[in-house]
Amino acid sequence: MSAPDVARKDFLAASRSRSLWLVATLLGLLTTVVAYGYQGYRLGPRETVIQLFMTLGTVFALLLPIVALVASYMTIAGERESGGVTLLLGLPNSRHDVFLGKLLSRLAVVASGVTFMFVTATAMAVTRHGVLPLGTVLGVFAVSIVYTAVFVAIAVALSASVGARSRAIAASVGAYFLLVVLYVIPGVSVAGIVRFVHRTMLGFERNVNLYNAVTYTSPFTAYRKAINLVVPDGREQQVFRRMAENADLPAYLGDEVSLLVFAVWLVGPLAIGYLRFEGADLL
Amino acid sequence: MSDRLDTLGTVLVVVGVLAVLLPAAFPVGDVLYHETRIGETGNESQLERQGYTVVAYENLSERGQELYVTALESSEPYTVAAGQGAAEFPYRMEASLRDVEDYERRRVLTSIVIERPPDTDLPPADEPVEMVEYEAEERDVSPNRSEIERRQRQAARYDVMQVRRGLPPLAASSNLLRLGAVALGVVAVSVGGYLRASPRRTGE
Repeated sequence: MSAPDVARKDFLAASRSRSLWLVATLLGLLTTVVAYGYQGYRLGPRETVIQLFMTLGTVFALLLPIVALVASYMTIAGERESGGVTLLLGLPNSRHDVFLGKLLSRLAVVASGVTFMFVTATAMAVTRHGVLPLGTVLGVFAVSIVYTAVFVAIAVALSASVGARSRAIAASVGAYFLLVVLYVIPGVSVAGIVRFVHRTMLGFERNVNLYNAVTYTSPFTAYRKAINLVVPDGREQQVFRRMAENADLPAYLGDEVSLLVFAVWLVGPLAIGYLRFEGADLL
Repeated sequence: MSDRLDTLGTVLVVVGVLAVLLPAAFPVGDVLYHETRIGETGNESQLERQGYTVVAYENLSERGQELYVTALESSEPYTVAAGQGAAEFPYRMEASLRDVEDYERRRVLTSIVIERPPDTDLPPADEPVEMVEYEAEERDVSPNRSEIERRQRQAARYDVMQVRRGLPPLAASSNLLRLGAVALGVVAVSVGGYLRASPRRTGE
């Protein structure tokens, strides 16, 4: 067996999960209903569909990490807890094969779900409005796949780093709070914490760009910025709540930087997770 | 047994995919809205000064008269398919008025005033005739009862009908039919996919 074999076997096992199909159904119905009910204010059909997918992007920013983490957190930790990983490694597979195979499998599972959601939303949007702004839809889809892949990578890395199901759950919930929730709730946001330390504790002058840069380290913020790359000119959303007065956005806060943030979050956790899995005592 | 489930799963997936995708090949068309509950209390010259187009009922086309009467009788905005409206009605889409911020101006641009014949047997106009009295009180004048009644008759004679073009209401049967098809398609794809992937298929 090799990594593709591990991936194929894991994908087959995942596709037999009734709960995964149930979640896919509910998500497909959710996007169908959102696409059905969405009506842009004073917008033509094409602009309405573009606005719909931008709105779906906001919903997906919160939802897709949950889908990716739930679908992936057990992938290696579960095998370790049940002892199945020793069997898997005895077939023979290297730890590299197991890690890569599990990652590919979960990427395929979650990407299938995201594709299903986009197909249902697109079908409903075209049915309602009669137009398909293909560039925007494909763009938001591609960005969403990358965003989901980031959280699959994080979940697989966390799963590879811990030896028990309970710790994998705790790590995944913690990751969601640290990387998503803390960037949504204004009162306890990461930017607010940094601002408090920077101004109140250290006594520096207010630096909005610094706070925004810290906010930008989250894949959640990067996803919202990346959507700006695929929507028509003039329809970009303002992601940062506070902007420096009389100043253009510095280059490091540009929309293109989101791709770099994604790359770091894809590679970093995987590297750490793999190294921890490689050095773990699995017996 | 497993073969039958496999076949059933395949059929459900195929039917589901068709149910999701086929409605997109037959998009819901725009409809034309006719709404007479909008009201004004002015006379012809006042309404024309506001920018309204005033058309005598007798001068409407046969289709225009039919639409007006049906809209009066309807408790909801009356809709017909695009292409079945009256040529003299200024159907506009919301998107074409995006630069018009003033609410009154938007109303004028999407409305036509029907001058009803006196002593007509048309359904009663739903203009806010009671407002005439309130407006007189607000202006701090005290016209006599006959003057108020004359103005009320005048207000009822000039009936504002709002007309516009847009998507059918969400609860329209054409919309619900398509929503039902897509929703059933989603469920069918999921159930079919699960049956096909089910362990019973391979006996594993």
